[in-house]
Amino acid sequence: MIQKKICMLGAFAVGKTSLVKQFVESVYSDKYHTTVGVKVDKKSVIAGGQEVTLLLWDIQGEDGVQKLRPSYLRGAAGYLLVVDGTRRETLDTAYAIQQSAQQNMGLVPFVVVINKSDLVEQWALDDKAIGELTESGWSVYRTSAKTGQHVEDAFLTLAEKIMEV
Amino acid sequence: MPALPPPISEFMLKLNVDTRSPAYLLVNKDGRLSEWGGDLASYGIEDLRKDQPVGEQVFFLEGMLPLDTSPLFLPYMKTDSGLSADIYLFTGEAGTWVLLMDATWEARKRKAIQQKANDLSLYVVEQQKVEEELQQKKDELEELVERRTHALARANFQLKLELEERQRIEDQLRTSEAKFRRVSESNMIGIMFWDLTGTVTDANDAFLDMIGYSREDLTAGKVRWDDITRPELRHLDDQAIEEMRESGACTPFEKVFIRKDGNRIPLLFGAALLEGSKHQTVCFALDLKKHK
Repeated sequence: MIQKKICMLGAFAVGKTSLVKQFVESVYSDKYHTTVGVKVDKKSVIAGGQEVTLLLWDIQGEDGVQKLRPSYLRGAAGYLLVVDGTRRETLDTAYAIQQSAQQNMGLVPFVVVINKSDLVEQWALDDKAIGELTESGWSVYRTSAKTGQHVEDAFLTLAEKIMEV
Repeated sequence: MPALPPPISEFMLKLNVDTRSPAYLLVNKDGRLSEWGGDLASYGIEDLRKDQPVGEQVFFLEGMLPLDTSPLFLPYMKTDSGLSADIYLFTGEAGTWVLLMDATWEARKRKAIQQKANDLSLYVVEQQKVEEELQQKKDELEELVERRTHALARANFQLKLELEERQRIEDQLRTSEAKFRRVSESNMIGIMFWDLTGTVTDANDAFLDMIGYSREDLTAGKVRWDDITRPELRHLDDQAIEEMRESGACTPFEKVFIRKDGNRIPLLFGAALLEGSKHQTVCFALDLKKHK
């Protein structure tokens, strides 16, 4: 039985919980509920030619008061770094979280998810800002937890990357 | 930490046991479950199997073990039962102890505060966006007003120039008309206006005297060009008309008019088309008999 721990990281209200719900249960709610602490969900996928159970740690979002707690990251095989396309400042938070995660976990695979592509007309991120992410060699997905667009792609890509390690 | 008297320690222990549903797991050095106890069911942890990998039975422990010497704290872990637990991991001689304590009430309190704080932050961000959009619209509007004001000022200036030009032309025209009227009214020479259809439309007294017609005749339309021109000299008029059409004026020439009383009068005659007209002419006539 192969199990891999994946952390959902990002600023508050970027859609981490919604992405997990969409991926695991294929449901979405417009109502925003903040996450306190952490909630673990699981889903089995095929990655690297094997069945892998992903243990998804939906960790409370980071803001000016709540900082990323290293104990939550222990033992993670990879992480999804979530950005809200409609809020430019969540990209800055994501850069800071990536630095912090790397210090705690080392070089583990991760995928950047720019969420809320259903609100693309309200996006505050331009192509240049997104281009800088891909130029860094990071895998970037534009997702919508609401419509489900590219949600599975992002998780499966991360699972594949983890299984390649 | 100061030593607490046994009644205090015992009370605190009882308080924790009564209010925080403690439960525990003991994981041996191979990562297999060796012992458990307490109120695990209230966290949804059931059907545990001894000596089996703990990560396969308690999912949040996957990857966590083995623990190094430092204890680990996982606050507010939402468990399968819906309760939130504070989870402490620490190492003892028998292996790693995992202690769960109910933190649902604290988590709910924290969530309520956090929700308000996050909602407020999102509201502020939204307001900032709205303000930025409003500011942008305001800037665009101000730019438009400035452009329109500038265009209006330019149009006003242009209009002022045109009015000044019109005033200047009218002044010139008035001056010119005054000069011409003076010449005409002085009756030094005969002056008349006619169109190329032959109608004499106006004339000064000097001209009317030359051809023997009265002003009443003129007003009644009785003065016609062909009546006062000798037919055999009509070709001279045709040449003059042709010249006027080409150059606007004709070279003065001598001709003979027929007076109303039938007498002939030799004249030096010149004509020019009025400015902007192809039919209206102004003519002068000089009585050659008087000047010879």
